[in-house]
Amino acid sequence: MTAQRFFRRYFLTGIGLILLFLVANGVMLLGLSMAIDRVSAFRAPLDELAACVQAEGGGYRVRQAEITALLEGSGLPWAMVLDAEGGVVWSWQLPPSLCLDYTAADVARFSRWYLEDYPVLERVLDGGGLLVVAGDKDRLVRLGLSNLMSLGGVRTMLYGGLGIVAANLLLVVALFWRSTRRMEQSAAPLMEGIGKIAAGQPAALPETGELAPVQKALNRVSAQMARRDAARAEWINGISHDVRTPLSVILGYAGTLAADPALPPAARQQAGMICAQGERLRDLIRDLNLVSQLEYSMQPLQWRHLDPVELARGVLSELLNGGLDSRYVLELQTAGREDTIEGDPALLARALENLVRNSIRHNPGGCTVTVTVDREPETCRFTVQDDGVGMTAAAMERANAGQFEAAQSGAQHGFGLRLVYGIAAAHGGTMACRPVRPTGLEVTITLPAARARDGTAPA
Amino acid sequence: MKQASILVVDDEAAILEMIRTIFAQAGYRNVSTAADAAGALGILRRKMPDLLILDVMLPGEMDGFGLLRAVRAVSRVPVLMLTARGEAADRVAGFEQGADDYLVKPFLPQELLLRVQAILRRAYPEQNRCVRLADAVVDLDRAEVRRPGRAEPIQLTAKEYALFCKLAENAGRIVTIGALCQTVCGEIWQGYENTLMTHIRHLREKLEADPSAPRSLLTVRGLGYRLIVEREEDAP
Repeated sequence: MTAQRFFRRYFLTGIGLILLFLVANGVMLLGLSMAIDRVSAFRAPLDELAACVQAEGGGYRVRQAEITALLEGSGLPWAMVLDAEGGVVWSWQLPPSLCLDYTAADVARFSRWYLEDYPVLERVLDGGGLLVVAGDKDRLVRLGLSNLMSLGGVRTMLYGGLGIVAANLLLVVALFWRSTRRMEQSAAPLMEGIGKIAAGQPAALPETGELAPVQKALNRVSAQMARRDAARAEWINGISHDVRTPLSVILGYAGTLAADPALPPAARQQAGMICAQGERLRDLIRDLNLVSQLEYSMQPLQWRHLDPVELARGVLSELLNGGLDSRYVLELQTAGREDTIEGDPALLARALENLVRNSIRHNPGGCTVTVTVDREPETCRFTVQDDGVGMTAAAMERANAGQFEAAQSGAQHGFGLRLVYGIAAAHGGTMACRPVRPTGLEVTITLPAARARDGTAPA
Repeated sequence: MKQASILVVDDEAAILEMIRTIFAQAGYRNVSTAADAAGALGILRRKMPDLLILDVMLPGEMDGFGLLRAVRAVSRVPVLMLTARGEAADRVAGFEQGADDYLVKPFLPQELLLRVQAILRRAYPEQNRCVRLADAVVDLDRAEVRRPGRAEPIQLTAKEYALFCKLAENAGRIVTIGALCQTVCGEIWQGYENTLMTHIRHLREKLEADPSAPRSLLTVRGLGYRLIVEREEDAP
């Protein structure tokens, strides 16, 4: 119903525009013809002149006084009367350059064109003769067979015509622009809303105008999606919360057994393995929860000014303080200026820690992990590079494209890169992986140095 | 420190039992437990312990934060929040209401013990505490260093003392350059790194027999410093 009303309204508007166009053109043409008429009003009194010439006995009698008065009054330069054979039998102010005898071909030519540059008009007289009157050759031009028009009239017609074409073009552009603008005003919020919903962001459209029901429906879709996302994130949060308590007990007792000197070494080692796997499970739950919150935009970022180098120092120190195996070497390098950036310190530390832990986890034989912090004026780059086994080209391509679906990424990668990608995106930054020659992986997080001031992070 | 009385409040019996085991193995003998806020308040009314370990989500009308507020109204006893809620907002809420530290479940026994030790050390500083290093003994009460072969003790400046305490509190662990700078000049420490290096050099001259080959105050390149402590002991 709404769509029908919407399109009927646009159909009627279209018809209205065409009518407006036609009316405007009619008015302009009428105006032009009136203007031409006023400028070039020239009437040769041919009938009155012809009435002054009467056939009489094979010749013609001209009422001289009357015709002279008429000719002088009309401003014609000259006039003549030809008999049926083409000879001039009477003339008034005939220029000497004109001949006095005309053939039928001459008559045919000047009656359609000019006689010695004079535009002429003719009237056939009784007895086969011809009254010929000339117009001012400097002022008048021939228009058709029986009209003379002044040069001013011709100019008015030419410029008026061009003016109408220009006015038509302007009118078409103006009407088209107005129509497009109105369509844009109606459709832009809708398209923006659909775009936001497609990007998984909440949309709040103004519920006014012809399309209000459509906008209301989109708002409902957005709200439903937000509720579903919230429910999913809450569910994941609940599950991870429920898992934490039993996992605490497992880790607690396994840790206690691993440190119990009364136990045989093999039993302590096995308890240590339970502990290590429990820790891995703990990290997975922690990441799963954060990933789900980042993906559903439910993680409010705690923006702070932070020192990126100190952040990296803290992450590497914690890993080393946690008792890192000597097969792994962690190095920190810095470049660029010393300056703070804006970001969520806890999340950025998680991202960096995940990258280093990824390098450690995927290289059980040991490797050197180099973290580089490069602070540029507008951006800050954290690069984590290892000389380990690297990553397959396909997995790297998917990671760079932000595709982390479980079926594609493979379970062994956990949430590591997905989490890093999400944290970088939440800060309005990017994550990029590239291979290291001869072997190894380099992951770079590039962040804007300052928070986007509209409060939203770029996707 | 091992004589400290500790009250653990958690609604999970398995967690309470496990924590009791961890503390028992670590030598803490004076550990009591409660399964809810009412039980905890009953114990607290009889005798305030030296340390409280509180779960946030407790059954009944009063949750962990409520219990923390009730305790804070009458006592400054140190409180460690122990919870499955690890969100940043929860941590902030915990600290705002007066918690001394926050440990998220699941945790390793060692993590719990280290936090508890750190809190107790901060809350109940021991008298006559000395730190024995490879080439020196540092008397923390007098802020002076005694070196074998030297009759006169060497005095530490206020900044050297603050740096040493920070390093000693985290003995064996890397303390970052930023954390050390913060110790001596507060929140805004950027640009203080070179001055820190000077303080560390002076500290080494007082602590090490050969400052160019330090055995106690070690540099961890690019990250910070680590203090290797032989043992902590009472002053003679």
